[in-house]
Amino acid sequence: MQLNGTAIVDTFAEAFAMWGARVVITAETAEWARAAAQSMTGFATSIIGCKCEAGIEAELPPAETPDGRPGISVLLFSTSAEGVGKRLVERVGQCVMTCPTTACYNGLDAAAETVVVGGQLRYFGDKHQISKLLAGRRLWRVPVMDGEFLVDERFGIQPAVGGGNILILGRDQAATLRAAEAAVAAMRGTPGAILPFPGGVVRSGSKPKSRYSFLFASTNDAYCPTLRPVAAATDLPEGIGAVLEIVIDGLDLAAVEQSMRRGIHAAAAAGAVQISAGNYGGGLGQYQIALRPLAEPVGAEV
Amino acid sequence: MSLDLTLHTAPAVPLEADILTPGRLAGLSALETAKLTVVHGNQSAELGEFFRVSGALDGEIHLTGDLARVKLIGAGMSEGRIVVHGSAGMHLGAGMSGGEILVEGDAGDWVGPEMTGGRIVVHGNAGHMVGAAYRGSRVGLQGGEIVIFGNAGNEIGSGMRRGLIAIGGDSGDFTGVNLLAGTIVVLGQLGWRTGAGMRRGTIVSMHAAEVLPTFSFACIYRPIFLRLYLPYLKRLGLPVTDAQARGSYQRWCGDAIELNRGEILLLESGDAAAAN
Amino acid sequence: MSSSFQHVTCLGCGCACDDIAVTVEDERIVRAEHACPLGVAWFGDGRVPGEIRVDGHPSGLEEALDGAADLLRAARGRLLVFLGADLTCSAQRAAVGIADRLRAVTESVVSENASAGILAAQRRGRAGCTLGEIRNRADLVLFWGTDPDEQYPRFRSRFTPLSGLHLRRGHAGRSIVSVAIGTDTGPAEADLHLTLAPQEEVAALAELRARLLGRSLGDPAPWSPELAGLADRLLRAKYVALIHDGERSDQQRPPERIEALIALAQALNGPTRAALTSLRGGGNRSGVEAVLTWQTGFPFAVDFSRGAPRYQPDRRAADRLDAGALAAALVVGAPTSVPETLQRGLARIPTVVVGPRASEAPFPARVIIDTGVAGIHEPGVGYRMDDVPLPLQGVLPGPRPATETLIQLLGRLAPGRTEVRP
Repeated sequence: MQLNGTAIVDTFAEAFAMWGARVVITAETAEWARAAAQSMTGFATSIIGCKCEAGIEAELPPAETPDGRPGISVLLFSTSAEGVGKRLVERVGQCVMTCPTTACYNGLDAAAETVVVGGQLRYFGDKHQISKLLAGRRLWRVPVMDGEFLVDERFGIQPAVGGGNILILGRDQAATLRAAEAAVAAMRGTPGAILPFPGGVVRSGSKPKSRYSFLFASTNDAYCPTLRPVAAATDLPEGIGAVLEIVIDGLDLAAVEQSMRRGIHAAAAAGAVQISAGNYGGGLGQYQIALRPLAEPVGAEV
Repeated sequence: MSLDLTLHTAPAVPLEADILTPGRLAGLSALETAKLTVVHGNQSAELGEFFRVSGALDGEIHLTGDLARVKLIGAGMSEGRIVVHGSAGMHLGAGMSGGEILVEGDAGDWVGPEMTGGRIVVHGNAGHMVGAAYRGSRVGLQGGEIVIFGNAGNEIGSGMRRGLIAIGGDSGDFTGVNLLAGTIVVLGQLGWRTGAGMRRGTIVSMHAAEVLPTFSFACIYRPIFLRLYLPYLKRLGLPVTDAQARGSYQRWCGDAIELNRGEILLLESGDAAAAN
Repeated sequence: MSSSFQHVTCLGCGCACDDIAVTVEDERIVRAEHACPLGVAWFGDGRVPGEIRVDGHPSGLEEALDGAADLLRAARGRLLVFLGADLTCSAQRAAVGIADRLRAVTESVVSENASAGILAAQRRGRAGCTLGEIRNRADLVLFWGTDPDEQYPRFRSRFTPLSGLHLRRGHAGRSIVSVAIGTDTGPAEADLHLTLAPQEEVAALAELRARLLGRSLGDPAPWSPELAGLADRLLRAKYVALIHDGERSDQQRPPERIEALIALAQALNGPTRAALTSLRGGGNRSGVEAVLTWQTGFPFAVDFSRGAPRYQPDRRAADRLDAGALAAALVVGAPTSVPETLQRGLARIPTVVVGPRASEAPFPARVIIDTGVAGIHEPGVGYRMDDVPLPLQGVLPGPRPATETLIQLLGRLAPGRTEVRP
């Protein structure tokens, strides 16, 4: 199958069931909200080494935030509900509460399950914290040096999808990077989805095994251009000089698919030679997201 | 479709009408409802001696007339809706745990005492002891919301433990006396001795007020939680301005003779930028 | 023929002194030894009228009781039962039974200030003691805006003399602090005097309490240095007795001062030991509260109109009378103990009076039955201001006992003979 001259491999991305949460951070200015969001989503690229994956979903205008101030919504994913709860407490506590003028709210109102976040952070108030209950929603006011930090007691969590991905194969590093950048630009702002890696792109894709007994994963030598002749097997077709991967986590399958669809079309338009996806044969993940249907012409796009 | 009761004969002395709740009238026909017993002075009487009853209850009761002598409307209700097209008597919604009461006119003393849930809205004025603890009782309102668009009297929210009381006009003396927790917002002027004996809880006013000597000034700041509370009250119809929601407030901590964890927030200045 | 009685209890004021020796000659009291002038006036010569009248005409007891029962049953609307002074507890109990039977609203001789004190105690609790405790243990007595000598003449000599069982003799044993609130002055002789204006009272009590709790306050007030000194003295005492007048004051003093006084006594019980005593008036009014609490669970303002007793301290009889919400009244006890505001209202509705000097009631009544006075003609139980029950004796024969009369009236109101709809 060809899309704009780009070959779309007949394969699927293997994605995993995860738990996700949405956090709305507000501050006096968009800049400070961003500072808190960037800090919170730092070192959150891969579950394996970072315990969670997180990223900025969208910037919110004042009219769309609970307190009418500029805001940012952040999505955070982990393998268990409990894990999401713990990471939220850590990151909101260390990265949002610490940032001047911020407040932090739950962004999943309709969630059936919740985890305690503000209810844990309140202890920082050293018995000076104040609880407020408004229309069934409990918030905590923690006294801090610039005033008060306001945070929801509980945050909603929902079953989510992680590890959706596309692989962009290009002529050389520069061309592949251009295509990847175009894909990221199109994928950013997809509601309900984030790209956890730096700039949205992974250059060091991995395989789930290693020749070292102490490692679980190692470089995906089948896609490394410098190893074409020496790797055990290579998946690099003729004419491919570099590969970049974009990983997507989403609050539901539709969001992941939507993001992937945007990325495929943008990368194809930007001159990628081939677009593929990573999977483990289908035996590990709960979801298999086929590439070709997503590469259908743009009329089907939402 | 709702159950409609229209006052045709005004009671000579106060009428105790705590049967007027959606729960108690559920499943009754208009005829059966008219035969229910109410207490009129020292006597029992039938509801039909005072009200013309029509319609059928499907969760809503509409009362029409000057009901200033009809006490205990909606007392103890847990669901459904009561609308009073006129004024209501004392002890409106006493001890209710859910549902909604709307009064288009004034209400008497003791609106929603010892309520645990639900919402009472009075478009006119209310008397004393809004959301208060009964005499001899330590705990008052334990949940729910009371909104008075007009003025209210003394001892609003006395002994309040949880919940929200909002007054669109002025409040009397001893607002929030012995407050245990919860939030009281007064858009008009506060009376005397606000927050006397408060342990926790929040009292907010949009005007300067004389504060007891056992309260201490903390700072002037812009509380973020008011940016949720005040717009919420605005959505309920109270004349809250954006400038107030985003304004700076004086924070007074007290009552020092109690737990000293309560606060009185007095609007220092509205947010100028918001006024644009 | 003279006879003498020992250990007679006087009900002239709430001190209920039970060491009075009464001498009776020719059916009159000629001496009440140890009694103060108030007590001597209360005993009088012991003679009381013994009349029974219906609509102004002399009548027999049976006819009067029938007339009273008819009047009360015929009333369309709520009834009032007023529990007045100078009744024994058993007479009070019978009156409460009548109120229950009639589904009436009760009012009693408890004053506005005293009822404010009861409400404050219900909200906050009490730190109290019996009067003997003060006598024997209190090494610091603080008279707050009251000098007992006028209304409770033997209080100081009986309960705060310079000696006590656990005190050192003389001034070293007990010190007196006298705080004047405006014109409500304390005793003239005291070891420490303070003066406050009435509008400063509550704020000063709050500041005192804050100091005792170790809390810092805002700007100091003009009285702050003196209060600091007082706080020190209080903290150094072993047992502080706070005395205030629970009944009346010459000036308008805010009712919340009573809760502030209770809170002060409670706060003092942290660092040291303290008790608050409210001086109460006579006529066994503390007994009314005790009997109502015993029978209904509430000390005053009990409303029986819904069948079960309800507590309605906000809706007092005077308001109901003004609103035309009461149809008839039964006053038991001395009719002069009915407050004036109520008397005016009673004049407008049919009223029955059963009690000592009923025939001299200062308001018109349709049925009047004179009885004896508790503690002079009628034996029984009476309560002292600190809620200690004391025996009452009958030293003279009286017209007819209030208890029995009321029980007979109660009998005429039995179900089957009543028209009050359930």
